[in-house]
Amino acid sequence: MKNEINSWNELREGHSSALRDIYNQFYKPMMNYGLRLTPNNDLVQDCIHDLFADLWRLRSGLGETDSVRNYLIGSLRRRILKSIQDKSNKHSELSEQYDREDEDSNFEISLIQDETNLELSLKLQAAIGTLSKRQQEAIYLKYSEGLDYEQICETMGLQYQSVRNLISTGILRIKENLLILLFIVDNFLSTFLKY
Amino acid sequence: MNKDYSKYNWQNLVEDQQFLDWLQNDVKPMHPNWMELFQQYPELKIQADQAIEFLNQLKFKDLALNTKAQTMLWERIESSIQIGEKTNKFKLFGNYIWPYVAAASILLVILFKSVLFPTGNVDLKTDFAQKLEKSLPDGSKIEMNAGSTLSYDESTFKEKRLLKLDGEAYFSVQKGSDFSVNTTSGTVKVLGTEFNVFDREGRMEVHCYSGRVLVQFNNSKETYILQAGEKVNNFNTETTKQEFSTLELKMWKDGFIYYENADLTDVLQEFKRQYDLKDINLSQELGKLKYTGFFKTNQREEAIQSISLPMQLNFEIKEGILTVTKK
Repeated sequence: MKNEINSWNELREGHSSALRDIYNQFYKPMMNYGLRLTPNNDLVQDCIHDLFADLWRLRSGLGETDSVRNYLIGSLRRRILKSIQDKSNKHSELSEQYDREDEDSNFEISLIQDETNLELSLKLQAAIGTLSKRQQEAIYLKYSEGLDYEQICETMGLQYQSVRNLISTGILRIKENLLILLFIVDNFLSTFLKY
Repeated sequence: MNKDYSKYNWQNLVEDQQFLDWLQNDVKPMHPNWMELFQQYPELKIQADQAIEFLNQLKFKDLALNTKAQTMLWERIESSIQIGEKTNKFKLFGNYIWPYVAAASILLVILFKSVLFPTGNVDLKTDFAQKLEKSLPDGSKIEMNAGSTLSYDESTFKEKRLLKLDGEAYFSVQKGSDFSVNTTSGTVKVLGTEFNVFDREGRMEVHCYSGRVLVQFNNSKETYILQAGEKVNNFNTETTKQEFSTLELKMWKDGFIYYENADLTDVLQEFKRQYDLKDINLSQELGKLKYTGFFKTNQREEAIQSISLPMQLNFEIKEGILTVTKK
């Protein structure tokens, strides 16, 4: 946590090694998030390229931040959505292409399958599949990227209460689909509380 | 703005930023003391365990990403930056050249010195209650757990990546030639991956987090190839290979140590290393109790409660000696 803030401040002072450190630390989370917004790999890479080139170009004007991750994810999201929009405007006459691009920008999350408990894993995945794309994105930002509610509001451009609702109803939906999970957890707990 | 935690269920906890911060070890002065709350409301502890179990199931799959693409994109960024930089070159030269010259001459002296007197062997050692992070000459990273030693030859490391380990360490290896870790119980060989090696008191365990790892134990002829998510365990000539649970991903390097059905003796040996205790007073009978759960490596009182509460034991530390008794 401290490291990334250090790198950020070094970048503001003009150390190019700090830019590289930030890139290496956040390449994976940025790609993972970007490829969920659009499956177009080249587009995500271009956006990351532009983002880092701009970070370096504008380094002296960068402000302090308490979360580099939040800054990068939010900035990447705006860039990706903007290029998708620009693209679809260009191709608006080719309606087929437009439809496909539009469809492709859906957010979907997939979970690591826990082989020791495959049935539960698959059920959880199915439960998540019933959520809206926005719910999935909010839950991903919260539990995979670890952003807090305010940061998710900034990133997704939503009101605080809407984000709370998205996540709250999302979790509730998962829970309803997963009564079996609770059953297993109860068993697990009651066996270990016996000791 | 005090919340009524007695009525909290696991879903409230999953959505509670302060609870999530606590799990991430990011505790601020205004935050509630969860361990106290758990004692006050036993039901809340049960709900918290369910919340943790839920969060552990909610592990998102990383999309297949290759490191080559990462390097290529960085090269692209770097060359765009250099083109932009050219226009500023004069200014850079005029204002900033002196510090660079100074830095360069210091570097030169250091380089010169190391050529004249090759440093050779590097020994790294962590004491109890201490961890160490370090980059190796080839850019690979290591994190050593408490009470471990690691040594390698710096002058030849880039040609022959070989380390000796006694204890426990996590490795994040740069792609390249063979990378080997020797311990008293065996050898781990890899190409470019992340893995954890544990070798203490005759028990050796290797977790592979990404890429592939080859493991050979000194007491067996067989070699084991681990894929990401697999672990292999060797103790008293008995070897088992299995997948590890997502819970085990929370590990010592993140400030958590997780156990599944482990002997209390083993758990407390690690506790002793983490908190630099002199000794443990534990009867054989209690040592055989099984513990499932986690403890934190940076908050002793919390760690004591995480082990003692569910097992209904009393922990007392006096002059560095931990005594465990039944409640």
